Amino acid sequence: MTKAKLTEEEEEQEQARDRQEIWDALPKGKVYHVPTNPDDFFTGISYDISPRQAGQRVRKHDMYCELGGPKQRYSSFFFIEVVKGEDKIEDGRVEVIGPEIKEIEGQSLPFGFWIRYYGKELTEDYLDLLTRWTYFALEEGEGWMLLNTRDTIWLRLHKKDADKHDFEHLGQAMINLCKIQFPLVEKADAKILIATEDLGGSKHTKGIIDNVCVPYWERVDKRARAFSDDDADTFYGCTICQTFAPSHVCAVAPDRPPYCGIITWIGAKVMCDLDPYGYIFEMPKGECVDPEGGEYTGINEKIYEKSNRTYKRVVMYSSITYPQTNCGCFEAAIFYIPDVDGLGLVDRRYGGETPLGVTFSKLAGLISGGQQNHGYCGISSRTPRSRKFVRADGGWNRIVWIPKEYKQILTESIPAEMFDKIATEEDCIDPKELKEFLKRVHHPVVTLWKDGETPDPLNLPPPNTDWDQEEEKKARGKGKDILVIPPP
Amino acid sequence: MEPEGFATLRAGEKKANKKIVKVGDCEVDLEEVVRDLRGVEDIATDIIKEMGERRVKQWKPKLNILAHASDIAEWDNVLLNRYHPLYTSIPSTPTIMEESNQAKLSLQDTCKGLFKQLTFARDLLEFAIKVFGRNREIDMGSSITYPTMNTSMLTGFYTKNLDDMDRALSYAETQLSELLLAAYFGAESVIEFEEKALHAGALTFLAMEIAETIKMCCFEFFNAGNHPATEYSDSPPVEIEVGMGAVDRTKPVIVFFGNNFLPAWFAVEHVKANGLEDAIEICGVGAVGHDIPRFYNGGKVLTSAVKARKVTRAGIPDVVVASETCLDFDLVAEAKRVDAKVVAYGYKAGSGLEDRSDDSVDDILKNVMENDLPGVRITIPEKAGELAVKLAIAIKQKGKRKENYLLAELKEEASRCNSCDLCIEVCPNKQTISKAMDDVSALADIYDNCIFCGLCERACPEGVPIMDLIMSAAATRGKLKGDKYLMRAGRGPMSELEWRDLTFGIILGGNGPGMINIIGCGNYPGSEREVAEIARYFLERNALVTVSGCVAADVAKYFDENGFLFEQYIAAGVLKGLVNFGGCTAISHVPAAIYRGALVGSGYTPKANWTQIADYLYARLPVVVIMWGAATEEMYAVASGLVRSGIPVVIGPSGFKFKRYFLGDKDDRSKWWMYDGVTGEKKEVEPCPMHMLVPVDTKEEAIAMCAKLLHRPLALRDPRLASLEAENEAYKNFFGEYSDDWHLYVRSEQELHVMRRAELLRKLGQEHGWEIEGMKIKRAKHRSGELMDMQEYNKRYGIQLGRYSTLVPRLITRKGIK
Repeated sequence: MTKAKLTEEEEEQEQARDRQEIWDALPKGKVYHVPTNPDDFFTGISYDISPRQAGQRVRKHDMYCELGGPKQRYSSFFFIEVVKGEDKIEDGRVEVIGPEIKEIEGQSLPFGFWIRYYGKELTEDYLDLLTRWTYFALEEGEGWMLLNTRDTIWLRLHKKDADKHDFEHLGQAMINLCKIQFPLVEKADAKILIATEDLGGSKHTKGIIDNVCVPYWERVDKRARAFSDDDADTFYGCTICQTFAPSHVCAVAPDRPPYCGIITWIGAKVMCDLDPYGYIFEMPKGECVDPEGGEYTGINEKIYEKSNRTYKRVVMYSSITYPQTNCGCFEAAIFYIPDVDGLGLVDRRYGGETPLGVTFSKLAGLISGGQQNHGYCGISSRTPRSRKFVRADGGWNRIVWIPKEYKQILTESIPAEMFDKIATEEDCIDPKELKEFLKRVHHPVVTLWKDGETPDPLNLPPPNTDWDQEEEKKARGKGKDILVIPPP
Repeated sequence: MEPEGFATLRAGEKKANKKIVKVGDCEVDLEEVVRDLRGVEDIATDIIKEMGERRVKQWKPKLNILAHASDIAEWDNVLLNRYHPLYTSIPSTPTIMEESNQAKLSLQDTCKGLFKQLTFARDLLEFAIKVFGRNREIDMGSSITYPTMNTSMLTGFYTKNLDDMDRALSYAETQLSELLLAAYFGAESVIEFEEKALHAGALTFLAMEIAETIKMCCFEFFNAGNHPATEYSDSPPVEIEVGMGAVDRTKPVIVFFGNNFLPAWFAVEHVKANGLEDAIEICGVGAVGHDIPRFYNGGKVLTSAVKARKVTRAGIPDVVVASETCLDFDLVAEAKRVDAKVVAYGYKAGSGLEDRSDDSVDDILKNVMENDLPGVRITIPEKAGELAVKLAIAIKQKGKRKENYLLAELKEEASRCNSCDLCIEVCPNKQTISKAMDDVSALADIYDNCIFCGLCERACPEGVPIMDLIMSAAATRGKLKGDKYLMRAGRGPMSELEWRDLTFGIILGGNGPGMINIIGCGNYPGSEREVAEIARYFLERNALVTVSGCVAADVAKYFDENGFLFEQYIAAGVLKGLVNFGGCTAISHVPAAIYRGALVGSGYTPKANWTQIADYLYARLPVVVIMWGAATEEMYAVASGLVRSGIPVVIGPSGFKFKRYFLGDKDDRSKWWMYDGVTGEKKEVEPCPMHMLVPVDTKEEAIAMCAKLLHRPLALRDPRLASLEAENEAYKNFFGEYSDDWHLYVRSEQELHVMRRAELLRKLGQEHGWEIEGMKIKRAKHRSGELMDMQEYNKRYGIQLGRYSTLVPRLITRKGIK
């Protein structure tokens, strides 16, 4: 085990050396020293950076210049790294390699932004948030259109705002936005490469992507992916929605994002540090009493305390037995369909009826208000991507119905052998027809039916009450049975 | 023998008959839930069952079914204690009137507004019942989960058919008599009078909603509830023409005035049935103007009701159809000036014309044309509609109509002016009329600020036709032709689905500052453009902006290199959306939309549950209403209703005409508190929303005040940043410096906008005595003057983020559940 860890560390160090070499070898550009004193972080920046600028689109004929994007076959990069070693960074140094904005009117060019952060306590765990704040200089920057990230990045600058911009101040905005938000960032520098033909064009940027960015991203992504609920000692609780629903608490775990979809486990962790008097708090996991369903003593205790002593149990990976509570602002919902003993999924874009005979809006109205509704659960639209998605109920093998558009979005998360077995509104909405459909496609849920013919639905307890022990056992048993069914 | 039922009056009988409803394992005694259960037991039972076990356990339920004013005193007192009414109008009384007398006047005004809306709703309902029967179903559409909430909030039921509406309206009418009695013969305290004024306001919304719902569900007005959410961004399309320049005067032109759309509806039916769509212009002014495009996309909105005279003076109509209200001048005389005929519709708008309701349309037509009658009165809408169309065609064919006044002819009239300047004195917009008499371009400039109220003409001792002069000058300068714009027709209700998106944008997140609702009748000095500029200001800053009533047509008049405002922004009720709810009665969609915002997430019942819904949205949702233009009694009632719902109202320009305000005192710390919803502990909070009904004078003041009123004590972190930035930016831009109380809304450096953070932190340190370390607040100065660390500060000031809290003792969660 020690050996494996060393190798990982060694790999990391080697990569860092390579990166530094390539960084040093970049062609020389014009060097600026942007303000490092907080009072002057934004001095000289004449464009607005705020949420109201977010999501701006720049159409072709409004465009002053374009960087990256499809025309450059996405051979550009926006690369952010956390550097170890204080001496490697000269704080506030922004180097612009290639032409300035005013020299590239009407052009479309490949580019690279390479931004490096250092801090004694700064680790790669913060990378997501560092990235987010750096991007804000463009995403929430007046006149900029920003689409995609990393090596699919695509920027356009609007004609009407062009005279407010130059690369020096863009560099200043990017690193100082991050610094003002994260006092953990002590030093930052940036190189802005506009890869004109004489600077090697897209060949140059592509080389950096292949040798610097991709290995780095692969390494951090791998680590993030491998990180599961089992690796974390602490989950995070969020009571943002108690303002709507006085007894509601979310437990946010790596494999269980909250239903609102705006907070992740890592995000919650950082928020907890940054904003100690906010609404996010630590939830030590305690002892795991049910690895399949995801039930922990520490989480149960904290839920009890923070729900104002209303709920005693939460099974993290279940929507049938003791699911998490929700207020009304979820992106999607799971619902139990008694007629077929299976689960349906619906997101809020879908305006039609579900097999329960109600629309998403009505369903949301029914199950909101911070209640523990056994058989129903609000989720984030990304929750189905979790490897532990409703595992206690049988995982994907228990899902019988999803609206077509949402199903399309989830294509990669749905096991291939299940894809055609899940009905959409185009196949059927009526539960009777759904039953016939499931039989026809040999959906695994059919094996739960008596003689493969008659569904034997669960007797769900009313909201906020406990399960009858026998019935709970039966419910969990079904989940277990169906989880291991090999696809026919 | 005693008559049946008598026994229940005897002492003891009532107590013995407990009315218990079982919800889960919880027993609720209805006698404790409703003040007087008799006659409403079925409604109460349904609501309690719908609430469910969790809710009735959490709080002691209290239902204001078919509420009297005092049934909602629980909430009204919270408001009136925090915002004591301030009276500013003492017309023609030399001595200062007693406050309670002023409160009485305030109630009288609100009642006037209420009965205007009630009468209209009643007329419409009676007509609908005659045509469709009492059982006609009312369905707001599949996109609407919670339908008629203005009604259910007071009565406890949704109006699912016309019979329900009759019950709700009869209730409101009974309430009005009760309120009128108090308003004219009552001897009550200020608070009691104002409670009733608030009640009259709430009832006004009920009346508006009934009319609006009948329009949508019985008369096919455009209703977003019938459309899926995917269509909202461009539906209804930007295709409705606005302004006098949009009228093709080579065709017969009918202009509808007033607030009853029925004659217009039947005129359009007649037009459609005879394939006359391209042969005739159907236009409207004011309320009916905004109604027509919702059932006929060829309908044109000419101007707002208060500027109606503009249209006749410009000589646009061949036929004018008048219905009651929203018409404050002698239409017959005005029509005569331009040789147009009048069809006066209804029982309340005779205009001194002969009632010909009993005759056939063709007889009347012949009679009017042959004898050159000024017009007729008709009380049957089908007949009025058909007659208007036929008459317009006949007049056009005859081709005898007078041309517009020509400037040359008017020169002579103008020369009679002896510069007595009486016209300047009486002009509400203080235009220097007499100085412009012989200057066409100066007269044309006056046109921009003229509402054609006619006071100058009446005052002129020489009888100079001043309005004609102004109009001719404007026409000469191409101002009439240029008066041509595009807008979307009113869309009706906002759906829950849109609120789900909006919740992420303004409640959980802070991508926009909030929801800004602009309403009003639209007469104001200065440019019509101002109201559009307010809308644009907030749209550019990512707010959701809604417009309803006559102001919608003024907002439509904004255009720049990117087109009209309605073209630049989507029609969905989301951030950066510009929603047009519709004319006048559609103002009832404003509180309804906001109630939906409270229901998404909370899941409270919107039935007879006023206190809880108002308490909820008042402290959480960043919504403000801007009332721009004429301070009519109707608007007075509307403002009162909004305030009672917990929605702050900014009134302008020259908002000081409004006579009564609800202002908060930010310096009186004893006023600003909330109960922790779990422990019941009373906690000091930020002074917000600072006012509930506040006057402003200018566009800039309106924007800044609006931004300030977006603060909420229970706002979460990002929305706190958004509202603080909205206020700071507005103050800095318009007044050059920040407000004197912005620091009261800061609880963390995370709430300071990044580009301003260093500056604001420095100010906190230097001007407010806080202790700052780097980019962080180390110690904050409490309002008591004590310097304390942030943990302590957050404990002693404001509500912990996300913590359920309330202003109403009953709504503190019950102890010891489970």
